[in-house]
Amino acid sequence: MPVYAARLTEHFGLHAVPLSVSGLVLVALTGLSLFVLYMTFVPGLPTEPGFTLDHWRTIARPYILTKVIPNTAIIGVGAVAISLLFGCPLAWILNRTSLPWRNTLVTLIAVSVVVPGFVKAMGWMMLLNERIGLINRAIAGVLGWESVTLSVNNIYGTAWLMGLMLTPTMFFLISGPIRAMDPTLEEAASISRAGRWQTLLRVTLPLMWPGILGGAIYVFMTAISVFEIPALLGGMGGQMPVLATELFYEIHPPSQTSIDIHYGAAGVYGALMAVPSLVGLYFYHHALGQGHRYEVITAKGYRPRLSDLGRYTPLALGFVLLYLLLATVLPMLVLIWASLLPYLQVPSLAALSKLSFANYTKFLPAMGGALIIRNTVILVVSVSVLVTLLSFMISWVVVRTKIRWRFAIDSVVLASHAIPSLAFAFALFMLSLIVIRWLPWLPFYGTLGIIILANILNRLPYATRITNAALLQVHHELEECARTCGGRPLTVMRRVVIPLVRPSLIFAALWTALLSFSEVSMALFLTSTQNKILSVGVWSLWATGYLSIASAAAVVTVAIMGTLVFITVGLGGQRVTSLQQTVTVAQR
Amino acid sequence: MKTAVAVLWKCVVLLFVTFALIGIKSQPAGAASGNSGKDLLDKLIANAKAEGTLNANLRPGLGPVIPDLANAFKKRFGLDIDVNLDALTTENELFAKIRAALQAGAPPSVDMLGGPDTRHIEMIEQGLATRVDNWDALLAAVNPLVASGKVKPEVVSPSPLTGYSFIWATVTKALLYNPKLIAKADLPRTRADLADAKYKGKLATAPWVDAWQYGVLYYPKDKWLEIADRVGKNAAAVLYYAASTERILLGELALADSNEYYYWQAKMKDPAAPIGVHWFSDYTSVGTVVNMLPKGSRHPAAATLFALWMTTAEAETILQRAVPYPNLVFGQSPISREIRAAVKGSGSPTVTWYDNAKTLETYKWYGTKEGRQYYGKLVRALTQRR
Repeated sequence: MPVYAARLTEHFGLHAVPLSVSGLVLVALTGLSLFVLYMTFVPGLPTEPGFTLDHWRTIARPYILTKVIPNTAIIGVGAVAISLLFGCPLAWILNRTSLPWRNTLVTLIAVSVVVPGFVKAMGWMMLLNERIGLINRAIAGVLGWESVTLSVNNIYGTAWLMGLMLTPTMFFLISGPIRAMDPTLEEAASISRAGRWQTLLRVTLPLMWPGILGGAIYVFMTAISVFEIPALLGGMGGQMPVLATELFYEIHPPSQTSIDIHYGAAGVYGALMAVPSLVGLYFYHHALGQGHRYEVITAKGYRPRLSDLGRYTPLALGFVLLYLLLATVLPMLVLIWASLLPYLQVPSLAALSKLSFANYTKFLPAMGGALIIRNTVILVVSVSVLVTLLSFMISWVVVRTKIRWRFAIDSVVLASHAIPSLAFAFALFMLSLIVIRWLPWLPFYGTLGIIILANILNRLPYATRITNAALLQVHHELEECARTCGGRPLTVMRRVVIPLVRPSLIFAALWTALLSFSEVSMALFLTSTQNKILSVGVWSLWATGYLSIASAAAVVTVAIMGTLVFITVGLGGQRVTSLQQTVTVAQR
Repeated sequence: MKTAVAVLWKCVVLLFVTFALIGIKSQPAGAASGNSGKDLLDKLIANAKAEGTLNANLRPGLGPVIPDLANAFKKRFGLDIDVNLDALTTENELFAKIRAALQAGAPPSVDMLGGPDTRHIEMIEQGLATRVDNWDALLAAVNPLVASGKVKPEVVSPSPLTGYSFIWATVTKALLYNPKLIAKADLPRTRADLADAKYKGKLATAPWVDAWQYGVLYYPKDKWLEIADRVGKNAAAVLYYAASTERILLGELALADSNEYYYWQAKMKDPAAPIGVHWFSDYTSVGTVVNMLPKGSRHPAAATLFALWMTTAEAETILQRAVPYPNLVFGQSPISREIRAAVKGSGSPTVTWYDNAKTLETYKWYGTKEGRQYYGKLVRALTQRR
């Protein structure tokens, strides 16, 4: 066999499984994305013939160009700024310092994701509103003013709220790599008389750059595609329109004389949202191209160590608590308050007299009973396991192989997040209609399977950022040593690489579980009588006037998920510690 | 002798025919023959048992009473089938998805579909609905009000829905307000008065403008658009009805263009809730909520039974425990009577799309190219989305 063929066989043979998996994912994502694009050129249903540019012409109007797109940009950039402002310091403080109660604080950050976005929006409206805001009243009282014109019901308030909501996303994206980073470089900086802040700014942050950049791009794409927050704060009308609400209108036709879903127009809005994300991808790949500079886990002694904050401990703790207050505690208090009342009202003596636990006995029957719990558990577990597995495989191809088109795989995976989740949902819906005509026995149309698939495809971009960054930090020489000792590729992957990146994999699985648990946009579109899940139940109860019962459901689910998160984070921390000890002993 | 027997025989036949005619004539108009209706019903029940399953959607908000509805339905007909009632999916997307599914040749995801009459009319016109055979006889066998003659079958299933869709509730548009933020005397008298600058920043409108469509019956079209645009500029927010009701109760907004039952729903939760309901003096639109079988329904017998049963007072009583959806057409419950009296007492003229030839013609006009364009302008004016 020629030398080049042998090398090719050896190379592809080593990576056969990850390549196959990545190929399947690539086909699925590309197919769906192209389908969404195809629908923008079809006059009606995608199954009907015809070609039109009318959908594209609809965006060329002043309203879109002067209001919708600028508003969307403000939300995206604002959300990134806020999430970086909180997320980066939080990731460093809670993963690389000796701050007490770190696990508990991380759990609380994770738990905040489970609180529905619309509840946070309602809570912030009670806090920061010109007429009824509690913060407004407090400030006015202290300063002796009649009123304070601070409100969350505008584009900047929306960006603020979105940034707070997406801070945990940023936090977890960079937590894995920052937690596993070798402190040797920081120690070297310290020996060279660099101060703590200098080390942080000139050593730690630059090493975290790929993770931070990936996080910023992901947060931006997510912020511009979330619709429930801007819709609740005023985006459903012309006061504060954004691309996400315009897309929502096309998918959920408000008209009572027409029941058409405007797939084409929805696809156009989806394409518009994809453009800035694709630009960001270019910069992200440039950072990935310098990947070797960020390898910090090598075969030569790996002992993550925590920095002692010393006299800065109260300041660090105060910062963490401030974020938790703004993002978790206050919305949770509003949630609990709402769950104990017949309807949401501003705190008062009259309201206190109406408190009761009646709503806690009503939410499960209102949402369909035990079936909804069963469906949700199946969804969360299957999505988190499959996404973690698939993203690891994809990242293996992107980071570990020298295949020329590996960046194309990564680009497609990340770019798929640029397509709004609603667009994916209706693409999958249309696909399911085609499938049931030809394969009626396949459990897809109207089943839990379609929601699981939608979530898997939607979560891959995020999970691959974590696994990309994690694999980037593991030097090649560890695997080369293992293969030299006769280890097969899958064995090397399983027994050498995976244990080293386990913290990141646990974070990826946990985060995927939380996000799929609280995801509502896609599930709303794909729901049927058989596949109801909790997020849809909570949203539906709220949308039909049962905010208090919805809040009770949310409180119970937050409590359960919070407990699971706490257990998982705790277990993940112990395993990292024991692995460190094993490596230390082996070196001796 | 032979002559006597012949005469006697003729008398017997004459008497028989006479009594038969008397029997038919004495039955109230609209009531079907008990025997034939019962036979049809028995056959339908047997088919439903054989089908074994029912998947149906209900109006959102009825979740809390789903178990009661399912159990009462099964008990009424002696069924032991799997009844899946969905009150989580909103009507907008459900109708759109089912329409897309049917047009693509796929079966509908539900066997029975509920929602506003206007959506059903569109489905019927496009051949996407199933007509129930012998619907009037079955309705009489299921609904005691129809059997007794108090309610005619064509009232429960009026044209153009006849035989396809069956009314079980109504929705009346009203103005909800917070009496602590605005006095009753300061409320707008007519829907057009909402354009007054004094209401700027106090009002929530909805993304749905169906109530405003009726305005062309009372105002010139151009003027109505102008009014709608000023109302849109006055609006502080565009919100779902439930969200605007929450904001009214919170004290953040003074007024909300909404459905009347949200007022009664708030009062059910707390009689002292700070909310009031007001009817406009120019017109009050009333829509009906109906159930139908989409084309290709996989369990048609069970779906037919459920659609007919939902028209009964028994179903009305159960569902009103969750949401006070009234039935102003033929409802007998205390809530339906109370709301009917409130609307009547307000003096506001009610209007539906099938009141008369003019209203029906206007409804059909909205389906034309010119009507759709006008509708689009109305939406953009009220929501300020350009």
